[in-house]
Amino acid sequence: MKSNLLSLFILSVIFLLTSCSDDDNSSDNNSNDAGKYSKGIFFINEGTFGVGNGSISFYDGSTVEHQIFANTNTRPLGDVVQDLYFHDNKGYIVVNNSNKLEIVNQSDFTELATITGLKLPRYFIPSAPGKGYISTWGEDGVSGKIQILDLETEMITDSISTGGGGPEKMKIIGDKIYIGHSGGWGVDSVVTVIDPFNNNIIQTLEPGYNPGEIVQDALGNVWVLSYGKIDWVTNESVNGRLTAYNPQTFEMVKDFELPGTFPSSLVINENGNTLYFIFNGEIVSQNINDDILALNTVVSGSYYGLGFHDSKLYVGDAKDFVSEGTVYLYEENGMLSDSLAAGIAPNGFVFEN
Amino acid sequence: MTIDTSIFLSEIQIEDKARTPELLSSQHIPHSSISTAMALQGLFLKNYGINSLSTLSLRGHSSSQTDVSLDGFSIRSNMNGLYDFNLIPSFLVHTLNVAPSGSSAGATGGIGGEIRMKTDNETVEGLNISFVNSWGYYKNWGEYFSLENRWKKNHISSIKLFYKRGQNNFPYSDLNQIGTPTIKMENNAFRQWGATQNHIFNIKKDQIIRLKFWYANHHRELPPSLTESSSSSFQNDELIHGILSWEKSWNKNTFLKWSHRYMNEHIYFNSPLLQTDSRSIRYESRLETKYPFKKYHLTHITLGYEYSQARVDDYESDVAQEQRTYSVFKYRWNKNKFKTDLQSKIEMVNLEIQPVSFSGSIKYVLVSDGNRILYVEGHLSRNHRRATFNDLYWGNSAFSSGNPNLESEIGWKENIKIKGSLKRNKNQYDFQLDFYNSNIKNWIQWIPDNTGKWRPENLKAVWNRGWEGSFSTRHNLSEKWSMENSIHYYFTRSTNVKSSSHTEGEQLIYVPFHQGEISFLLRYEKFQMNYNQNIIGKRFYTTDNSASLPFYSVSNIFLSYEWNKNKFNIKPILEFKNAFNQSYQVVANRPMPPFHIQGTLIFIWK
Repeated sequence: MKSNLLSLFILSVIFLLTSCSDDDNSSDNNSNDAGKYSKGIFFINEGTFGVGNGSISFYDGSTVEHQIFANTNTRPLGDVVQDLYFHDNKGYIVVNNSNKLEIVNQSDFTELATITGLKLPRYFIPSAPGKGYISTWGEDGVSGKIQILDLETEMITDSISTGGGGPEKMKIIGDKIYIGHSGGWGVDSVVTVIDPFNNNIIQTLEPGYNPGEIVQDALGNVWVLSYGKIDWVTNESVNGRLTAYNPQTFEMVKDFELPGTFPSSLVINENGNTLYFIFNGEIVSQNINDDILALNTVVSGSYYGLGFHDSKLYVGDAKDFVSEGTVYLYEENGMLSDSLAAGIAPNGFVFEN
Repeated sequence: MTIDTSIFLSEIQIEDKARTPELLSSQHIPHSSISTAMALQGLFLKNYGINSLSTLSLRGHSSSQTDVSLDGFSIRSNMNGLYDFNLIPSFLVHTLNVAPSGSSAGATGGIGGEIRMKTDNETVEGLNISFVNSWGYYKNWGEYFSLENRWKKNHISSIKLFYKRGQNNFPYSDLNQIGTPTIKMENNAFRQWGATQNHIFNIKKDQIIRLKFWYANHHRELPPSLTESSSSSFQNDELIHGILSWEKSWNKNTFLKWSHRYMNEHIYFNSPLLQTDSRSIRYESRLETKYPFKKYHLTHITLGYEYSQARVDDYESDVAQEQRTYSVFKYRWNKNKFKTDLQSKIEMVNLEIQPVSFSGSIKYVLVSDGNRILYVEGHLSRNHRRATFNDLYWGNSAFSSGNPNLESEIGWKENIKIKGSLKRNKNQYDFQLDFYNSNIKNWIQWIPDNTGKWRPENLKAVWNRGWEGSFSTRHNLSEKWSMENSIHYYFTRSTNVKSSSHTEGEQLIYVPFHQGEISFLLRYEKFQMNYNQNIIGKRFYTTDNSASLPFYSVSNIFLSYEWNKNKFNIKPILEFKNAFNQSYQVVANRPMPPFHIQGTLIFIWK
């Protein structure tokens, strides 16, 4: 009992620190070593599918440095770079179509290890002390699992069958981990809530079809963005949804049906009161207190990646997916403040203060 | 001299290029794929690896804009518009003609030119039996059998069979792993077999019936790229092609010909994520007549009909079909030093009129005597390429969708060339210079939207221009010694000129600015040594030209000896491929094999 309480205390400390992180993809470094890449903004550049030119770019506030993994380690990062997460001075880079996780030293991006053999990995998040979760879609793209990584030995030690297809983004909220199941190449409709201590599923939520994005607002509510689905044979579709839950009671507190399918890239501002996401290519916003769906268009156009940092929206433009992209910085009122060169297909951002 | 039998691809003729010397190269080695044989002529094939997909694009055009015909009928897939040149060993093909500015009557969509393959060998005299055995590194092995015969005067027949296989587990440096370890290529084996049968019947003095049958079956594993940790994917390709024709001739320039072809294509792709089964059938009938009038005028009229169907699980309605009718009118005026050709083509697809194609060329002979030839030739054409079945009919899904509203690509081409030949004593010199220009609008390209869903659009307008030069020599040094040399160079500038695109003015991906080839052949009696070097310049693989693959140069050495006794002929050939062990990639992250040796033993009984 004592050891359980101690463990719970340690975990709570970790989660408390994590919840202070201010980026979309989350990170938690409680003792950053000073280094070239310890503070700044990272662009996750997916690369062209099948070509293997995914990359990470680093923006220090004045200049953008591209290909920081490849330049440091003199080898390409891989095909479809999906996620980057910093934890305990290490960077965990999920490379989807290369079926691997690269682990680097955060301060200088030197390679530490490569975890291979993963089947279509999507995202990484630290779970219990010394452990990390990697969401994977599985070889067939629909029967994925959560793989558990031992952060010390850097070996896959176990896995969790969540029961849902295509585990996608994960979010630490309180002492639990929320996992959206976007279905992978198929269809699903659940968010599972897991106790990272014993890896048990303690709750299953059903916000809508293909829930893939999760954030927490200033009131503590958990927002889930569901992509919706289309039956490609009959062309019948089910719209996406934006749903909020009380994390204590798991009660649904808000639920909006979107006027279309496949919204993406849900983020929230630093005050925790305005949600932003991509819908029909545009950047739209929704105040957490609104009782009706507003969907205010903040930035018109067609974009691929989205982040929020220091009162600015970071918007990734993938162009034709075969050339270098651009990252636009917008004020919350939609005014363009800057544009930066990115790698190919910038799909996300990590902000390290 | 090479042995006179159709088990050898007797020539690869590249129009608009100086005559290729009779080099001992892969084109003369039955087990070599057509892809390898063409690469040795300095052509750039987008090759995903040994035995993987290999497509040819000419003068900056895309590979789907280059038509490929077999005995006069297009065999380019109606589903994806491509033809994979790694699927055929040169053993099955008698002649191959590369026509960058050409587009024949039955061709469809040859904006970028046409590759014409023929299986005929109508010069057979008596009985020829050939057996070829080849073996090489990485467990490559092949057997080939050919029987040709002229049965009396009125019947020529040939049958060819082949079987080849290989592991292709060559070593390469894996740049993607910590420490760049050398590992063996995995999941790269293949198995290929096929047969052809040709019959030519002279049923009357002025009438011929031809019957041709072709079957090819190919199973290949699809290896992982350098950025993938593993692969268990494979693909099966099967092609059945048959032609029946009847021809009545009144004289050399007057005939009436009817021909009909049947084609059945089956592609099965299997990966853990995706299994697709694609089948297509095509029937085509053609009636043509050639008729001269007065002294210098010649007309050639063709009427054709094609029914084409594809059954693909991923299509909107599982089955897509088209009916195509076409008429081609050709006129030639040939007088003294002038030769003029005009051609127009009108096509309808599903009763919808397609953009009109036409071409014209004029040739003027400046010098022509027994030892010297020099002429200039100009060519102008307008062509179109209809979108493929996949472009038009691919079903709507979360990841991709076809676009039934696509317009045909329209291309204008112009080129001018000067070509000459000089014989002096025991030496011969050939040269050629060719300048070309082409503009294509409505260029079709698949692009993803912001959700990553791919769809084809009439996206680009492309401007191709460049020049090609070649020079070759042949020297009879003595009764026993002779020597042949050639050098070819190609310069291609191929840019997107659509002003609304962020890649305006940039070179198209996988179109090298520079490419070339140097060959040297030394012959002593029946021994031959051939050195061949290909040079391919930098290729961009991002549309904004921000990333490129470096130039590479690959050398190959061929040695052979020919031994004859009575009717028996034996020819051993030794090939040293990638002789200087260059590490290179034609396509990003697809390693090519290092130095390796291939041996071939040919037995012929005539």
